Amino acid sequence: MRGTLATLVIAWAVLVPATVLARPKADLVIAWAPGIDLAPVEAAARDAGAAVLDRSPRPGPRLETVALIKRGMAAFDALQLDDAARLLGDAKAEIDRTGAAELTETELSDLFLYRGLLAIQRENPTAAWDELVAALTVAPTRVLDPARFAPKVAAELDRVRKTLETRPRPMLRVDVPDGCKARVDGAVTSGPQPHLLGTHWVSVTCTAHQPWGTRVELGADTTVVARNTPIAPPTGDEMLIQARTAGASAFVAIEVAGGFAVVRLVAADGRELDRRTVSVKGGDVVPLTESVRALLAPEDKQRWYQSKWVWAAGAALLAAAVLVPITAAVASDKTQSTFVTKVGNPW
Amino acid sequence: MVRWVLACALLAACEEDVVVTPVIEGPVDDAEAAAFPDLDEVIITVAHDDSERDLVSASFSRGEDITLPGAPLGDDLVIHLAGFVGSSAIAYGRTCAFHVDAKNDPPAPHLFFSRSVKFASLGITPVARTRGRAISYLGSAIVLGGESAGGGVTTVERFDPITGQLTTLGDVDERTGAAFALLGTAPPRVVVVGGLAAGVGASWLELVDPSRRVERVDEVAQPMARIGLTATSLTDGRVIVIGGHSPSTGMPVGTITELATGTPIDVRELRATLAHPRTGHTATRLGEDLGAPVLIAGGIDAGGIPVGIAELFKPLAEELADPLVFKPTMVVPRTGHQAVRMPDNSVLIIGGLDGSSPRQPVRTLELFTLDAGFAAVGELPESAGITDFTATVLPDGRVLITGGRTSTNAVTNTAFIARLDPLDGSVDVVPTDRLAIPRASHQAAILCDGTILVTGGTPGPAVAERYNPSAVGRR
Repeated sequence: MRGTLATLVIAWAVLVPATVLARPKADLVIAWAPGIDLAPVEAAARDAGAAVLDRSPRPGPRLETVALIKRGMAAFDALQLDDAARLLGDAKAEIDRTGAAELTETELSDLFLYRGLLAIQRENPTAAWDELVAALTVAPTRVLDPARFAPKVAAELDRVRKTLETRPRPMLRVDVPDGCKARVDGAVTSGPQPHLLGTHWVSVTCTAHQPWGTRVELGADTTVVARNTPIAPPTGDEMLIQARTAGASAFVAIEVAGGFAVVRLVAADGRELDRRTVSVKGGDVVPLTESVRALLAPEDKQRWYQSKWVWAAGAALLAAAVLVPITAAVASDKTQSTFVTKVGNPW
Repeated sequence: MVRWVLACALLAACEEDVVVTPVIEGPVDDAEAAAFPDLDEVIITVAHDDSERDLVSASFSRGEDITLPGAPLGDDLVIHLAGFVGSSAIAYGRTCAFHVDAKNDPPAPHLFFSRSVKFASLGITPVARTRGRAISYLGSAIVLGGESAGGGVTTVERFDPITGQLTTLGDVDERTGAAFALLGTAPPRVVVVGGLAAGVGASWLELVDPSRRVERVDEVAQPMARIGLTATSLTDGRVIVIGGHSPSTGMPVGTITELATGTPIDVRELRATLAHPRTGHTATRLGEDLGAPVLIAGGIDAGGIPVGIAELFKPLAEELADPLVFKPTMVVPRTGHQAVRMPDNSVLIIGGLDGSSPRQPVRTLELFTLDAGFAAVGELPESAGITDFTATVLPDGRVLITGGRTSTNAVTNTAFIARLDPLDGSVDVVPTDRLAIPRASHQAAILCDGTILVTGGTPGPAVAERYNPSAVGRR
């Protein structure tokens, strides 16, 4: 019985492929990849048997500005003028704070159009004129829907449009950090663009920075420098603590910045064991996925008799068995082991 | 089997002694540096390279034949020769490492023997050039680049102390203001980067080595048509090219590019860029360890003002140290200076020009350490070269400063030795023997026997010189 058991154990040890017992080189993948779709990387990690912790920054909650404008317009249409004034005032304060982030050009224009209508209803022609000017400054090509607006509103807006036709159009340029997108009055922009003299709203959204926005009083060619606060990636220590907390013996750290991903295999004691740097430009994560797969791939465990070193040692022993006696015989001869240095007489 | 062993024994009995006859070289037409015939006694020693232990040694009096038996065969042997007048050692020389076995013809290693701490004129006249570079290459010196009265110098020369010969390796393209560095490790090649060719920036690279001569690489992924850039060899054989400015716009850039051996060379622009784009700076590796950081110091910015803040490139992470944390400032911001790594991995900043208008030479010596940043540690003497000099680390860790232009812009033949006192961190500067010829923008490189080859830096062709340091550190 014992003999049978021993035979089975030996057979299992020899025949079971090493890969059956293989574990990935790391148990955990910690990723910081702002703006990158990591689904293929996560799938590759899970296939290899590693958990994934995505520490990339998430987009913040949606702003309420659009809802405020819509509710303000509905209140105006229902002739609840006080409610409309309050809601549209709140929306105005919100766009000053956010630079009209998440608004389209039409929505922004609607805000001022309705504030203008409100002023007309309240018989305040000066304020109405200013609001209609603001509406056309942010959307100079805006045409009113005759079904929604009375003919006198359209006529008033045309009068404003004619006044604005002669206004200069200075250049507005927005300097943004890498990976960020700028919007002026709700329209995506890049490089210097002409805008009507007057008030405009600039918002900048990024993958690895906090959103930022501001109101710009455009009087001449202007460059607005975005001040988005960077969102710091997790430090090496933070990742190490997370890996240890998760009980990982090693982890793969992915950090994406500037179109490149640095993928590191790190042991639980903090030693870096391997590293790859790949491009993720254009959102192409195939090289990144392959790098993660390669770093997680289990070591190919060989049987002792498959090792080239064992074969080399065997060959060396064999060679020694043949050569040592011969060498000993030769060494016992009087072959030279020293030399003479001769300079002659240099004097 | 018995018959085979018997044949070996007979052959061995017939063999004669292996005799190594070193070729003793000395100064040519330079009686002040010549050692013989004034010596009373010489001591000849055979030892392993880098070993303080003598294998065999003997002394010989004036007039005696020098014959030293009993040195063991080996592959890293060195012959030392010290000359005495009375009890004073006044001359010294050694060979580079050589190999002796019983089967091959014995070598005839060259041994340069002259008075210690003196420059000796050699019997060779290299091509006249200024602003070129001499690079220590596996114990020899490769001299290339630079310019002469006729324009850029294309000839690449190599001086090998093992043979004592100056040979021409080939021709590189005519360009000035290029940077040079050793690329790869097995064996290395000299890479030529940037510079001006026919008035425009040279975007191609050239590779030079004694076996493959000169190879031009046109298909460079990241062209480096800049001047005022630096090329620094890392311990793993990569080369890091930093900064410089475009010849067309004159604007300094902060670009950092990595060169690595490929087919034949891989060029990759790194993500890291200098916080302070600069040109005319220095980039010095802080140690021999794998991943040793590189200190970027001095140079001028887009406004032509010397950059005081240094930056640190970390090769393993391929990034610069956080400029909010690492921000050491030079005591005297400068450009056109030289930076030399000292034995304790500190960096000695020598000479250069300051930010005043017109720019003034800077005599203040500064020492950079990672712990304490920059500190003023002394001044160059009045008669020392402050620009266009050479600074070469000697075998004992001291720095040989030769020639250059003084604070009055005169070309000088003075030479000084700077020594770091490891106890208090101060730097002593003491004069040593003068060059035979005043030189500026010349070239110097240490050879495998511990001597320093000095070439060029003169308006026309001039003989090369060789500085023979003291025997300390040359085992």
